[in-house]
Parts: sequence; structure tokens; C-alpha cells
Amino acid sequence: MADLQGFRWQAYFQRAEEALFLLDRRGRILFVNPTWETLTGVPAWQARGLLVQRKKATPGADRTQVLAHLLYPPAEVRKGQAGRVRRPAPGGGAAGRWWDIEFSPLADDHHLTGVLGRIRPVAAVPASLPEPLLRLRQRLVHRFAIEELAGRSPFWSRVAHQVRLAGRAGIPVLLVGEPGTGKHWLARALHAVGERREGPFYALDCRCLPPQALTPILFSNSRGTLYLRDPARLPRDLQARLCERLGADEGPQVVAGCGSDPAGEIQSGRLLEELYHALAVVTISLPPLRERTDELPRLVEQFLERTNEDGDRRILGLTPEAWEVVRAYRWPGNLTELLAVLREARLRARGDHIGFSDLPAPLRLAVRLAQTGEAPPERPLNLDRILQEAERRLILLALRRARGNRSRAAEILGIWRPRLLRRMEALGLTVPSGKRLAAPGLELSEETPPLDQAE
Amino acid sequence: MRQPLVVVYEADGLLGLFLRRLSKGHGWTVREVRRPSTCLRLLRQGRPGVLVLKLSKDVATEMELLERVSWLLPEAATIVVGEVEDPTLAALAWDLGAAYVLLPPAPRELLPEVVAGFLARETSHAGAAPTG
Repeated sequence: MADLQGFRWQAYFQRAEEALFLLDRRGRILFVNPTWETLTGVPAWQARGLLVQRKKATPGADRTQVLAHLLYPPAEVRKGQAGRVRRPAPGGGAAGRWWDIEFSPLADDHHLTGVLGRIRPVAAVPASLPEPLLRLRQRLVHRFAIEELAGRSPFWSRVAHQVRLAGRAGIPVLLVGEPGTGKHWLARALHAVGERREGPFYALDCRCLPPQALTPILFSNSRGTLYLRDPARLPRDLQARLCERLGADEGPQVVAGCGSDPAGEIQSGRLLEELYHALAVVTISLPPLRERTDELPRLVEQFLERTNEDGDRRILGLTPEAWEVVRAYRWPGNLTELLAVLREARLRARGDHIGFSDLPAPLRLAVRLAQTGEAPPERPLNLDRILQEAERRLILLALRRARGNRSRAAEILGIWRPRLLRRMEALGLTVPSGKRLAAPGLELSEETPPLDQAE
Repeated sequence: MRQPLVVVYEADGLLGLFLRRLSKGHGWTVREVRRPSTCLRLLRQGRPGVLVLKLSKDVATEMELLERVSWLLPEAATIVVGEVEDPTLAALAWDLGAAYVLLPPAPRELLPEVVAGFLARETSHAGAAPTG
């Protein structure tokens, strides 16, 4: 901490009007200023030495424990990058009081030596909403937290970093990926950290909405964020107007989601190339679920938690047999399909785990087919033999009905009697002259094998 | 495949009547409900579905239903309709996941086209999802 000790930082920070705090490299609070004490209601002597915690405080915990969680730096800060989060103020979230907390890492040449934090209270929610509606809003805060992404892997850390930068800068973002890969979620996460989060989050599905419904939102002066699903489906005149609007940097921040082949959309003429370039200031590609199988346990757990909210019993997980199917399936519908499958399977499950037979039949079949080795050679079908056997049975049936009378049997079969006699001889069917066959229901003398076993 | 489903949640029945008349020309099934649990149960059926949610005095219940549908059944589109201009409430409806918000000054005449647009999307995707 030599760099800190060499600077009269204490005197400077003591007089600052913002709430400031300083953590050492282990996450212990070294210093807080008087504004911080006033904001948090915790005196400096009590705060010093407090270890910040990733784990959320349990309900009923004292104020210092709640603060310990709130002041925990997000993953990118722990890795040496500046970061910012919005978290509900202690006891204040439902009433609309939030804290924007900025973290600035302090480092020497090689190591993180500490973190300087600044807390800015914000009224994130319009005061005119009644309490029950404010609580609904609060549910969204934790649902779309970008911190969930950072730290999972280098790829997701980069995505989280891009989202934060783009959110703060308010620039257009293009999200590319197959349907169901999480583009909508990422757009919401960007809105949650962005400069325009005070405004609404509009999600417009360009495949479904008529131009008269799209226009007021596309060209509004709102300060929020606009997520456009599949902008290639916009009429070309709207695409051109949107392109101009993006160039003028007015209205909500635009985040667009498109399929995995934007170049193909341009080539086919569905997407204006100018609009593509205007949207793709930052481009983030999301991989399909089949390339993220290492994340399946976490995703399944999260989605089961979500579906458990919709029922009176809890599903705790999947059986090993069900897991085999889930891991082997290719998930063409990606995360959307995974959620739908778990929701459906949950309704069928009898116990507290989803089993193999609870999964939808097409999914199980698809996995089985994919896992099947070379198919066994098909049995040859001898058409002549099958036809002969069918003719034999029909003749015997007619003879039975005619009680052995060949003339009558020929009438039943709709053929001349000589032809019936020729066919009976060719098939080896003989009925002694004058003998009457038994009544229907009694077995004939010859065994009649099934058609598919006829030799 | 069963007919696409329009679930109407409202207090007075007028919107349901309007949509029922429209449905004859479009081949929709319209079901009017008064309880959020019934609404969720219908939308869970797995057939293409849209919820038309009309705001009344019980806004808290209506917004709670919007939040539940958009979180638990994201494939069902919720169209929020109201008769009173309220930008704050409209913003909240968008935030909670409405597929579209038709509060004044947005013209109510857009409703049939918006409903038809979302049902057409649901119908075209219904064959792709695995069914039990």
C-alpha cells in the first residue's frame, strides 16, 4: 500500500462530498469518509476492518453484514478493471432507493493493492408508483444482473465488459446468434447497467408488429433502451429512417438482435447494409447451447428455480438418466427450448426429480436416434410370396363362408369358377369333393402363418 | 393443431366481446378470464397464445400477472391495453415485459393487427418446439 501511504489521501477524502470507502487487497475496509458514515448509518470505527462478502446477508442480519455484501466488488474489478453496479440500498430497495457503486482498482505493476469505492444514491424508480408496483420493479434488478456473467469464463467476462462499455456509452449494439441464445436477456442486462436505465426498456418484435405500432416507439424521444428483435423484418423505409435516427444519436439506445447470418440477410436484400453498419457499432455473438454444454448444470438449476415459482412443489434436479438425454440433445431451440422442456417435464414428474420418462418424447427419440449405431440390415420383403399368401387366405376365407362350395366361393371372390380352381391348384389348396368345410370360426386343416413370416 | 388462443384478462367483458367478434374471421379461440391463476393455466397449455391484459383499478394484480407471464411463460406475448393515458404505468408495463402497450395516445384500432401478428408468430413456431 506504499502508493496510498505516500499521498495525503485521507485529508482529501475526508472532505469529499461523495460517500467513499477504501478496501485493501483482501477486501477489508480500510477507510470510510464522513459522507459514507452518514449515508450508511455505520460509524467509521465499526466499519474499519469489516470484510466484504460475496454471500448475500441472511434476512434479519445486522446492517454491517448487509453492507459487507453490498460493497463486494464485481468480478471485473477483482481482475483489475473499473466497474459499476447498482444495488438496492439497505432497507431502501422497495421504496425506490438504490445505490450506484463505482469501484476503481488500485494496483502497482503486478498486483491489485486495493479498491476505491464511491457510492451515489439514486432514486431509480419514479416516486409516483405505489409500493406494490415498486416491489415488482425490484424483482427485475437481480434478474438481469450482468455480474452473473462476469467470472464464468474468459468469453463471458469479455461479453460482460463489452456490455458495460456499450451501456455506459449509449451506443448501438448488435447481438448475433441463433434464436433462443439469450439475446433478449443480454439486452436487458445492458439496459440495467446503461446510462439510459432510468427510462423504460422497450422490446419490439419486428416480425409481429405492424409499422403503425412500431413507428411511435422507434422514433420516440424516450431515454430508455430499445431492443429490436429481427430488424431485417422492418419495412425498408423504416430501416432507412432508423438508420438516419441512429446517425443523429437521438432517442433510446438501440440494441438489435438478429440471427446468426446477418451477411445473408444483407445479401438477400432483407436488411439494409447501411442499417447493419449503423447497428453494429459493437457486435456480440452468442454461441448456441450445444457449444455451452459445460454450462448446462448451472442453466438447468436456474431454469428449475424459475419453473418452481410457478408451482406448489419444488423440483430439485434431474435423474442421471434424464441428464444423459439433456447432455446428448443438440438443443436447436437453445435456451428457450431448454426452459420449455423443463417446464413441461416438471408437470409430469411425480417426485422431486425429473426423470427420463418425464422428458418430451421427441427429445428422447432424437437422442436415441443420434446415439444409434449403424442400423441393422432390413429384412427383404418378397412381394410375390406376400401376394400369394394373401390370395391363399382370401380363397380359404371364401371357401369357409361358402362351406366348401367352390361355385359359391368363386361368386364371393368375384371370379369365374375355373379360375378359382386353377388358383387353388397352383397354391396347393385342395378340398375333397362334396366335403363341406366347417362353420366359420373353426380352424382349417392348414396352418396359416402371419403374412410377414411367410416363406 | 388447435386454434391459436387469445386469453383476455379484464374486469368488464367489453374487450372480450370485441375480440370474440374478430376471432370468427381469424380462427382464434378467445377465452375470457377473471383470475390470474386461470390465465396462467390456459397459457401453459403449450398452444400458440397471446394474453390481452386490460388495465383497470386493480393495477397491482394486473401488473403482477404481466410480470409472472413474461417471466414464467416468455413465449406467450402479453399486450397491455388501457383507457387512461399514464406514461409511468406504460413504462412499467414495458419494463415488466409487455410485448406491446396500447395506452392512449396509441390508437386502440391497432389491437387486432397486433394480436394477429403475435399469433402468426406463435403459430409458425409451434411445430419447432418439442411436445410431449
